Amino acid sequence: MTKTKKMNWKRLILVLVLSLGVLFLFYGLIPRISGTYTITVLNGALIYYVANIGCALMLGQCGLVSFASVAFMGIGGYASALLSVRLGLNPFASMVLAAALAMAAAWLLGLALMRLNGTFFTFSTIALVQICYTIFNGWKEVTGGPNGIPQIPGFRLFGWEAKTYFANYYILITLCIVAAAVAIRLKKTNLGRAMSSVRDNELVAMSMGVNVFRTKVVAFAISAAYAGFAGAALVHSSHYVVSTYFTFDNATTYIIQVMVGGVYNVVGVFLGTILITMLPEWLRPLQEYIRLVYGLGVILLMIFMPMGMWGSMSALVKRIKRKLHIRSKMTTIGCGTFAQEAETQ
Amino acid sequence: MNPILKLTDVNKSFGGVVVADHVNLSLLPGEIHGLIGPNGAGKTTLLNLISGIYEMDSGKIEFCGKDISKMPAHNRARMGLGRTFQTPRFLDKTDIEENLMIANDLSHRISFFRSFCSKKDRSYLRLLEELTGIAGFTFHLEDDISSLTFGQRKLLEIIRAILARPKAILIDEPAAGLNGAEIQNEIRLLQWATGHMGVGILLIEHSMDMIMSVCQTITVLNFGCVIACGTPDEIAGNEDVITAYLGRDTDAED
Amino acid sequence: MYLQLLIVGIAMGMIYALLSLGIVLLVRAVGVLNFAEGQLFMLGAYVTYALTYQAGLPLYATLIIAIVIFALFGVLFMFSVYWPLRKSTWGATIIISCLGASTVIKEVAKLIWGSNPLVYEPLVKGTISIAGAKLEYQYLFIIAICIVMIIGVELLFEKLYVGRIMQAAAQNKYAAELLGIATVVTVAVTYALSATLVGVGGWLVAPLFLVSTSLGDFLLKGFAGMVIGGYGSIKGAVIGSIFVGIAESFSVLITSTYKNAIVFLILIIFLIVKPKGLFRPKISEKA
Repeated sequence: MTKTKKMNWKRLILVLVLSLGVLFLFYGLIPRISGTYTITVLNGALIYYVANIGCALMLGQCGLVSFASVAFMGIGGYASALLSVRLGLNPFASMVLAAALAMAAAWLLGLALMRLNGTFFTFSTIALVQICYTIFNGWKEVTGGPNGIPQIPGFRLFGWEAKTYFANYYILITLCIVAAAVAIRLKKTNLGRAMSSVRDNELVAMSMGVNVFRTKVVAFAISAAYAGFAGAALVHSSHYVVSTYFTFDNATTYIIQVMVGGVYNVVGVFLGTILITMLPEWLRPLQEYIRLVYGLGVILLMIFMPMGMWGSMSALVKRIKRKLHIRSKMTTIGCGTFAQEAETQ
Repeated sequence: MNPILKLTDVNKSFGGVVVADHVNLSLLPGEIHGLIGPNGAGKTTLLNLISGIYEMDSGKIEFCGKDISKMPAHNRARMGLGRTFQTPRFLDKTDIEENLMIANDLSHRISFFRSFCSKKDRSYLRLLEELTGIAGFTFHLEDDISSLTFGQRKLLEIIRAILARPKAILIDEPAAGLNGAEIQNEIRLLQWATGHMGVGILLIEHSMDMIMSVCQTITVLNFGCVIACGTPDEIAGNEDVITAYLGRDTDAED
Repeated sequence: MYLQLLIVGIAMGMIYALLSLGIVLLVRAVGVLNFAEGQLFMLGAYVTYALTYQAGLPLYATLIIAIVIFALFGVLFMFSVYWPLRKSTWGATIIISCLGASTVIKEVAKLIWGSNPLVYEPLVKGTISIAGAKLEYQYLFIIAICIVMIIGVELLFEKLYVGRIMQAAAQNKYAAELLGIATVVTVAVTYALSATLVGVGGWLVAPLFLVSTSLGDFLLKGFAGMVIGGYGSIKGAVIGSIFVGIAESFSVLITSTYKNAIVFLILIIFLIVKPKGLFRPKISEKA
């Protein structure tokens, strides 16, 4: 009993130190060492990251290949832009409303689209992206069409307004951390497990009382809420929204970001998003070969690390742990550990 | 005692091939009920009909006194109808812990928001420890399913079904691919479930030794029809059953 | 007016049919959705452009060399994007690597031919006037060539022994290998065939649209046609694609802004109302 408590303490301290380190890295170190330009690019990456968490939820947790997140980003983006420009809502309020709207739209669409299985669902999401893009581009009275909506208010809260890229950065990184924390937590809930069971084996899911259809719809709606929120954050941080933000090409980029990093883990998704967004900056000396190298890199990554960078890394760690027999006694079942624990209680 | 699971006149055919023909069957709580028959007799299909993976053409299935004929599979599971499969089915992209937590989720059924806010539930570990002790192997929660042998996986699937605290479990060929010691442990596991939890078990098995030693009642299927139902002794002496298994004399000469 | 729209619709539908046939062949053979098919299509336009204008070859030589190049490129594509990943348990990896490949092809085309659209002169210049409406000869030319190619594919797979072998290998790789059919060969041939089909499609549309990297976007229409027709069925893909072409062409009567949306709306409605499409495929879905 005392032993388990000690273990918990150790874990708690480890988690505390790690999270403090992460906070220091994101709030202290990165804004200090990067210039305005890097921060601008980074802001973009952080916004995509929020959408990508939703995408990873669909792909990694629920096993559904969906291109739709870019469509919901558009819905959220335009909704938030219109709410704040025409109705003068506070950007934070309009962002939440935009996410809710995207979620509601996804819920309704999900009720229809989730009846399709596998590849057919993927097709329907492609169609969805095309339809939404055409509407964004064509409905000039509302979306401004190819001219977009300019002069969208930036983030402001209690009289304070985010005027610089750095101020935007602090807000976006906070949103990202909250979004990631919710996603991590979600994975450990009964809903998260239900999603895993839908991904891995629908028969097991059914026999374990999981409503497969409803779980898929919920996953779609949650991922859309993430995307809608990201879309709203995008328009408020760039003060502008235009239909070309939401093309099918962008949808493929998001899926690539998610897969390259690793679909199961928010850290992996973060790595993938940052890597793919920053790659053009880092590869600048290559000039016109950048996109070529990027495409080749994606193919090679899929061949050699099909589970993404984080997936391969954690698989390696697991293998090493198994080789070295590093295991906490807490997780060994069948040796009577928990029977004793129960007696002492 | 009222049966926990009752099938009345269940029919099912796949494109003209009748796989369940007016099947009647009742399962009592705390009973191990064997379901036997030659290959292709429609045993697994019947299990799929009961658990709701297939829809039946006509007939009635009652569970805990309630008509579940039209109920979707997941609701049947939530009512306490467990299921294991011929080849063990698990979530293979995640660890053992999550596989077992799913069963725990089914037994508790708390709301998503409570699950979101509460700590990881470890209360099921005590039951798990006891069951694993009976099953006679050890494993680590954070390992993948692939770290277990085939036999261990079959045992773990039964453990998972019991962890969900069902009222009845449908078990499909538990002994196939297991060695002698594992079969003994498996039998103890099943008997523990019926004895301690009053679970009714419907068991498909080809190993006659196991069927004859653990079952209180046996139903024999052939071509989707129930050809006999009774105690092991009655079944062992039943002419129809012997004919179904060995073929008629005229067939044997061919 | 209506006749003109109909002919344009059928011609575009035929082009989509070549694309969706290319995709369907791969779906049947290896169960992979090739998201780079649109770029192979685009490459078809570029390669024929290069052979005609930059190498100055006559038509027949252009065609022969182009087809050889398409086939070789298909095999190369297979060995780089499909073969290393064929055992992957995670379906999304192949989709992603196809997306990566489509970027590579697009970028290579940009590096070689620049990003400015190129003009490809029609093979048969001029317009024909039908019932008072002018129509380019190229549309009729497209219809003729596409019909020949589609019939060719249909014959290959339904009538010829080679096609049957390829289908057998597609349905059960293990059994096919036991029977001595090397799946690597059948898969390579399928990829070559698929690349050739869409490559010729690219050549056909080049005079109507400018030769540019945006030709890759035709892929989505091919998808739509394939799904409407019945995922995995050759006949379905052709009829579905023609349907898409006609629907797209006639949607101009209602709206020109939402032309794309209408096609994809039809797709979604089809998916919901008739998820298996017009024609059920002979093989089950593997992906």
